[in-house]
Amino acid sequence: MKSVNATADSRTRKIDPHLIDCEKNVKNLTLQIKSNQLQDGRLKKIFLIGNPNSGKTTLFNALTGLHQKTANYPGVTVERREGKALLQQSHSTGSSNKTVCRSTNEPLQQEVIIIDLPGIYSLSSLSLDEEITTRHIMGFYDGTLPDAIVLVVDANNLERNLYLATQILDLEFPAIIALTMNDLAEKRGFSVKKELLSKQLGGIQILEIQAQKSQKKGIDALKAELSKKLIEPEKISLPSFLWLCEKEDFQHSSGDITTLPDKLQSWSSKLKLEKYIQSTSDLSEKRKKALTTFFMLELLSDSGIEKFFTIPQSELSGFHNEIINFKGALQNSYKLDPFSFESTKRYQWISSIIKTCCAYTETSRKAVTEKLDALLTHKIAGLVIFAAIMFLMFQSIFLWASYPMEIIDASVGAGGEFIKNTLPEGLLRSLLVDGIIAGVGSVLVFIPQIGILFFFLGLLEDSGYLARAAFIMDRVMRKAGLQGRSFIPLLSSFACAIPGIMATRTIPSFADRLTTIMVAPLMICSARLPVYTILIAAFIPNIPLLGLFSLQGVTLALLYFAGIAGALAVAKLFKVTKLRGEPALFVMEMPPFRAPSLKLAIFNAYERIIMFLRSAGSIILACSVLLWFLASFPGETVQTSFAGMIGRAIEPVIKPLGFNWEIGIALLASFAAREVFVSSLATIYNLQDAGEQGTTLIEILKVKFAAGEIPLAAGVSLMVFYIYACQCMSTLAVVKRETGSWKWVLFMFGYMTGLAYVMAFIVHSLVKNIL
Amino acid sequence: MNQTSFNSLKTLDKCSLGEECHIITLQGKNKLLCKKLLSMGLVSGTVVKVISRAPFGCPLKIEALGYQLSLRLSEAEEIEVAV
Repeated sequence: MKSVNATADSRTRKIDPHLIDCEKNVKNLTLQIKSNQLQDGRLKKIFLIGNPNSGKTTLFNALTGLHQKTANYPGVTVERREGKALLQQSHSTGSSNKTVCRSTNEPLQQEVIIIDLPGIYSLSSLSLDEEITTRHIMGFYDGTLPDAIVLVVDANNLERNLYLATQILDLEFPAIIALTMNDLAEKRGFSVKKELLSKQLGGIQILEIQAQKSQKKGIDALKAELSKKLIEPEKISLPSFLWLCEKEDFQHSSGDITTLPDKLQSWSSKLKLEKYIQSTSDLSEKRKKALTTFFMLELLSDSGIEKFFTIPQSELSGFHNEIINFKGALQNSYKLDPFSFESTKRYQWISSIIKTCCAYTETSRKAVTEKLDALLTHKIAGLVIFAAIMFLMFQSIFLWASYPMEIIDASVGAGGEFIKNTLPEGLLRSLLVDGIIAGVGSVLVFIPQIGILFFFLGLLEDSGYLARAAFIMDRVMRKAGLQGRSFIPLLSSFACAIPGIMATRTIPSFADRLTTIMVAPLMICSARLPVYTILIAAFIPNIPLLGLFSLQGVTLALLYFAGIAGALAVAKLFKVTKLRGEPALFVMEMPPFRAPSLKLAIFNAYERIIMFLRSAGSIILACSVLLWFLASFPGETVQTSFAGMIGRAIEPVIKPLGFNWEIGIALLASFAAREVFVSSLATIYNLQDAGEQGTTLIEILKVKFAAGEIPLAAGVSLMVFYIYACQCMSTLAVVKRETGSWKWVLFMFGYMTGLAYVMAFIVHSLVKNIL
Repeated sequence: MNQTSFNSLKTLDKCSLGEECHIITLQGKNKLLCKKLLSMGLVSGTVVKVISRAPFGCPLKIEALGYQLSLRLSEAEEIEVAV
């Protein structure tokens, strides 16, 4: 018993930090829950619910257009999409291509909020996605139940999609089934008799939807039906699968002849479940019954639903004891395995429905995907194609993006120059040029890389290749405690960690995603190259090695290698310590191949750029102004500024690494962007040796190196420091955006700085004492 | 249970490519995995087959209920099937 309590407890505690805000919401809004009746002025809420890859997001885009906002759920990496749509009752039935008339005088128009919930396979609450979706449906998110639900059902995977759909239909919500990708299913020889299916599912409306921009179909009809639904929700009476259980010959060994649904009801009232489900207070008896039956089923099948309830400590052990008793009763009297019986029976029931209302004729269509798959995941050909695609993608963000980036740089430079020439010298000019314009520049400069990467990712995901890429790389990445889907984000991080970290949103597991985000900045990004070019040229002699290589080239390669090795080690370490206990699965659906949509890929890139500008952009700009302030006040030059003071103050700390205070200031300044190190160190040294203005940093460093002022050990130590140190505020801003919490930002900054310090210290002492 | 059907019991990772079999039980060591597979339709009685292996030998690609999904060998090991 104790152990059951303990596991339940630890699980609750594990997930809770991410969902603290939900909990708060639930508590704060208890009063509001009391009136489940719609208040005037509140927009009605419609949920889109469906399996992953069911076409949910495409439908969401078609319904809301650009009137949508994307954010994260508080504290977690799961994305929240919400948008507004205008519903209108139209007289056209079935599919219609007519555009909706947007006349504001139309009395039947209604604005509603559409919420695209995370794609899930069932209502159990074991994964974060499931938990968020289920909390929304059950009124445990903000205390309100949905006004209507659109169940997005992929015709290609009818059986599996109906599993979730019927789970929700059992709860008696006003709902409509949006049948997606029916054309694709028909091409594969699978046809659905919609009327028959609707009849089998208690009369629910089934609308065929084609949400792709080029050939929209059924969207207006769906809007019209939703609008009707909101006015008078019709009753659906679905013959729940539980009644199917009844038909089977239950052995009531104890002589108890209570039916299973009635039994579940009596158990739930024994547990006083109703008082935990506050959103039910104003519901009809029938709905209450449906909800409590659902919760009882979930409690019996270990699906983690108990974390929704706040059970007083004193009642906790009694609660768990009762559940164990009920499970025993289910096993003994009803001969049902509590863990699996719902899934097994429900799938049997769905399978029998499908047999009656779907037809399948074999076609050659399926063979195409099979053949393509055989090639693309082939031992040799598959790897070659994979390498080629990855090379193309990397090349594009590393090299092609550099042209627009140069243009942005030049324009920002010209803008600064213009202001320099128009405004008189002074604080305002300095703020505008070195603070704000430089800050805007450092935000804009990321746009090409983000845009190109997400354009590619959009194509890869839409075509179905992204899943294959993860499939190919999983074994290799797993050795490091990561998974197949971590590969592309980490590869992209060699160009820049910003798009790389943003690309981790294709990783479904929270633990895997967080680990990938945490190690992504350890990959040597292109912003480090200017620093390394200077340092290597100054400290490493250009000696040929084995005729083919040079010592300088080998040094650079070693730095890349050290970055990768560090990332792998850190990922492994995270896996066995901090993030253990959330076992990550690699159960990944492999969608059939299809021609990717160019429009969708462009939209994807656009959306990510906007999201970056909106949330990370402001933080980067603010940091840039802050750094400007630190470097300009008080006094004229960087040495006399706050930055200079801090640089001097930290000298004792960085001395063991071989750094002097000049380097300290440059390190601080380069927090804006790593390449700033070069210009700030040059400025500092140039100011010192006023006579030798205009000498490049390489020359200065070479002189200092020859004079023994900066020994080799310090130079190498600096290179190592730059591998591991988190010298990039933009990365931290994006981590804040992606994880939704400052906690992980601080964690990343802390561990990377610590790692950089230790590694630089070790290398410094080694080089100093050995060479 | 007769001898022949007993002999054909194995875990999914041991199946050869293309071999059709049906699920007997999910062994339930990893509750999270089993729950997920159950909700994806891998319940007892479902017909599954291993279609291919990734270039490095793992994971596997399997087919069930008309769709395909990838499973690591350690995950396939939790699924007991009969040929």
